[in-house]
Amino acid sequence: MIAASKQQALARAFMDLVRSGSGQQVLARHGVQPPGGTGR
Amino acid sequence: MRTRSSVRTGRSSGNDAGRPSGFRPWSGSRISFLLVALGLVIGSGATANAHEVRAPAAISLEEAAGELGRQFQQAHPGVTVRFNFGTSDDLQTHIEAAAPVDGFLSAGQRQMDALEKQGLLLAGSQRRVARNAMPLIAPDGSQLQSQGVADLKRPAAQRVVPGNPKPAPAGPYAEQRLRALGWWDLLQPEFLFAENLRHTRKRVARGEVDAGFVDTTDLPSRPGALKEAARPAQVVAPSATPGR
Repeated sequence: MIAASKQQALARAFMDLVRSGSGQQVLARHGVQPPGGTGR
Repeated sequence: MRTRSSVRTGRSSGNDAGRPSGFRPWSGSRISFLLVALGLVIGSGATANAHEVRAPAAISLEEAAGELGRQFQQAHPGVTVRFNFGTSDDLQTHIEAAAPVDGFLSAGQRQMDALEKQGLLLAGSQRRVARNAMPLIAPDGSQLQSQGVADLKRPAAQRVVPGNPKPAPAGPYAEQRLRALGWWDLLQPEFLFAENLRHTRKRVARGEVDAGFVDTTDLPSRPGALKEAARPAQVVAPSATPGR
């Protein structure tokens, strides 16, 4: 499991990017809207 | 399912349809949506490259995911985001079969919930990150400007692709929405089916069908063979809203 924690950290960082304002702008440019009030 | 070795490999062949310059989104009404969910997957670190994030993603999110991946790589030099695109159902199956995966970008909630129930997601890691819509596209030059089922019953729309009801999530959601609008039974004679939303887009662009329902992420980005003909009116019945 050499990289399990690093993998998870990277994956979590990617998730953070997707949820960030910058990530949401990218999604919006491609026609995807913010999740509204249903996020958790 | 298509695998891309990294986000640096450029655009996929799936984006062969162009986007018209003159979109006419219909009426600005609020519409039903798919929830786009992202979760972290447990395990498989033993086979991982420590400088790689392996992220299967719904094919309808291909362009958006690619751009996000490039942003991520710029912020994390030396790290590659490796996407694997397919239907959310297929990707769920791969994860259940222990495919090496770090995160999963699903176009539907149900797949994430199924993985979570099986203990395949890191606890508390699932997030809804976006929602998608269901515009109707038609070949550029089509006379179709649908504002209701009557328009779709006209000769300009004798062949309509609602999506494939089986591969989730787009097909079942399209069916739910069309049923909620009272369109499903009326349009049944016009229905043809496609393998997935990208296939729907290709069929419309080639003129093999008169119209098709896709995700907003499947709307073409450049002038070309397609136009957005309509967005069905508001459908927010609970049955049309996946998951929680």
